[in-house]
Amino acid sequence: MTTTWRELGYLTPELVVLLGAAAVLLLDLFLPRGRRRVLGGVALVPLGVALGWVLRALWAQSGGPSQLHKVFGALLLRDPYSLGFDVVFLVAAILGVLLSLRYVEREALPAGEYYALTLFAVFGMMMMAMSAELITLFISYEILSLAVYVLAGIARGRAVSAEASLKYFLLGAFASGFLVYGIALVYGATGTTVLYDPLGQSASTISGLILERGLFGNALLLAGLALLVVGIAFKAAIVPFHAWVPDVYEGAPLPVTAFMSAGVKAAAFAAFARLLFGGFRNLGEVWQPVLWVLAVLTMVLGNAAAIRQQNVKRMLAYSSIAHAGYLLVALAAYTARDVAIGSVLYYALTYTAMGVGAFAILLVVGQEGEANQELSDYRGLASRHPWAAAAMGLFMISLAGFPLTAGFLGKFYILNAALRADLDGLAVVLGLASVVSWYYYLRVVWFMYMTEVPKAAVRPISRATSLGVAVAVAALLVIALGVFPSTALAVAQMAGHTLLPLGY
Amino acid sequence: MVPTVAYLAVSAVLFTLGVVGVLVRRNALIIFMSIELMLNAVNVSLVSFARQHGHATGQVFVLLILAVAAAEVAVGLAIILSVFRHRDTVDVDHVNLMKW
Amino acid sequence: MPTLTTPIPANPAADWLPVAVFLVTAVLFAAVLLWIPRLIAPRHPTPDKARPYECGERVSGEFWQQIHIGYYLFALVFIIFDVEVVFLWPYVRVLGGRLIPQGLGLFVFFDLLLFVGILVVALVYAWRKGVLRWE
Repeated sequence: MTTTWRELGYLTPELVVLLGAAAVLLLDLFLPRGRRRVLGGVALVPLGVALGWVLRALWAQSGGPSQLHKVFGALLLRDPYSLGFDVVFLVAAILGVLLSLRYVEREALPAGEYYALTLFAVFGMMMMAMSAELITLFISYEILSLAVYVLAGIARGRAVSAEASLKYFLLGAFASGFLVYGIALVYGATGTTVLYDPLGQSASTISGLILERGLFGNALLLAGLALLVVGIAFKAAIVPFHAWVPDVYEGAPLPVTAFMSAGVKAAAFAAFARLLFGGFRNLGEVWQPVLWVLAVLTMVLGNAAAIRQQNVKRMLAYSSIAHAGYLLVALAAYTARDVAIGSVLYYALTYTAMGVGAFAILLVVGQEGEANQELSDYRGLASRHPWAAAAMGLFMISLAGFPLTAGFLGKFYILNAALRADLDGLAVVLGLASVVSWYYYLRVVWFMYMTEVPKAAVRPISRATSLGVAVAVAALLVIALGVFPSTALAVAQMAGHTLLPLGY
Repeated sequence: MVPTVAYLAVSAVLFTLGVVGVLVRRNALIIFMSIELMLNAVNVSLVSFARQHGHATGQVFVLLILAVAAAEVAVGLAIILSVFRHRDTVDVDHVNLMKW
Repeated sequence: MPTLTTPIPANPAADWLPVAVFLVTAVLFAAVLLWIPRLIAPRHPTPDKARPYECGERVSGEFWQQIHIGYYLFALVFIIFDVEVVFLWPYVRVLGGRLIPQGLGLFVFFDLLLFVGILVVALVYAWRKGVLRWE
């Protein structure tokens, strides 16, 4: 009797977020119209509580043996890996809500729906990182996706927002069709949907059956794997499944873009790594070359497209494709998986801090109706608003991967994994891609610090406290992860080790 | 007894029809219907796999896919409607405020 | 193993022949039913009788008119109950049968309450947004 209740206890952060979403939705209905601004604050409560729980659980395990619990059979796994990714999602969501507080009011968005959907999306992400079974994976994928489709189009008054939503929805639903077909084929080939058994107790899992029945060349299984990769690569914004990214990121409301670029991508990679290093660990020779090609394509195309952008929001959208490519390099390094998985987690966290931070500055500089997002709007920012410019500069050099920033260490660990896996070519491409990315990141810095504008053209910036807090938190995270990486890295490594083979 | 392969073939044909529909048609509603066709094609394979393996996992998954598809319809129609209110068209070739 | 292991009996009669028989029977049955009234029913058509049947109301307007958007919202609310039934039944059938004998009745109840509760939130949301009121 107690085991089942305890299993529910392992889901505490997820349940808190879910109940928080329901509470926000209901509060919205019963609050008078003028009081709805409190909803953002209400939404922060479950996020904060869940983050506290997750950090405490991670803290309790650091140093000691890591704990691994199966929930509901083996549908979900409460392990350091899922806890680590929960941190990423929750940080992204908290920053996203902070960015939204002023924005939702200014653009007159429906507050209840906005925050409730954000929480639902976070719930989906957290489930996705936990799921060790394909059906559960699909359901969480859809919870996340449906919430984000609506969020992208929540600014109904603006035609671009509706359009972004439509494109995201049509292509997303298309991709999820591939995902389910992949699941069906894998199920057909193996007769199970459980990816792997972390405790090595049962061999009737996908990874176990591949070994046992020697399904290495099974056409059904390989086709299923390919379709699964397509479905998840879509969410992770990997070339050639990236067509939606620039338009959706540009059209969606800015705080949603910030939340999406960090959270959705991290969730997709969390599931991706669990899928490949968990369920299909015995097919590494098959999927590694595919990831190799995808990684190169993603890095090259993402960076090449980002260079040409004059709109900073769009530039960040393309650059986020490039960052998905860097993460893919780590996934491709499967022979060095003891360091590769940890580096994915570490990079996801650093990207969340610097990416959301950069979008936060866009909100600070931008004005009503998403104006002022052109590169030229950043002319002379340093002399007008030195703090905003300094923060933006920090985020840019971190995204570019300069030493002493979080971005540098993130890339360093990924490179380390790639070299240990003898992927020298991929490492070289990553290095070159980073050098290319310096151009468009540093161009923003150059515009802020090296150009001047006449006094008359100076525009005001947003000085909302919530925005300031978000920028400060993101900047502190970037610095902390860059200068004192050891704690976060140790946790990431511990989390990564959860996925290493123990039997089946 | 009808072999599983026959069901799989039907399912694959339906799925391909759906994919072609998404790629060829330009009306957002028709694209959406094609996507639903893809999902239902998958349902056919799942049920036949479930029978082949002799357990119900695949059938339960079908129920879940149906529920997800219902939610997808709800969200999708709302999104298409909101675009229609702006543009008076659901032709995806005309939905091009941004570069596609 | 979380696989739900309710066995599905392999059906040896699942052959093409029953399908063919079914098809032929269906077509014949429909044809016969259409043919019998032609033989025996008296026919005295009047304009009133020739009108399409709309539950006794006089027909107004065209058939090919736009359908009110309100129906769409009603359909959405219907999904709430639809989904509820689709999942409650297998849940009770499988988990209830397995867990309640183990003394986990309270857990099953709480679990279901959580599920239904989330759907109720959706219903309350629809109600407060005025979906249930026809205007």
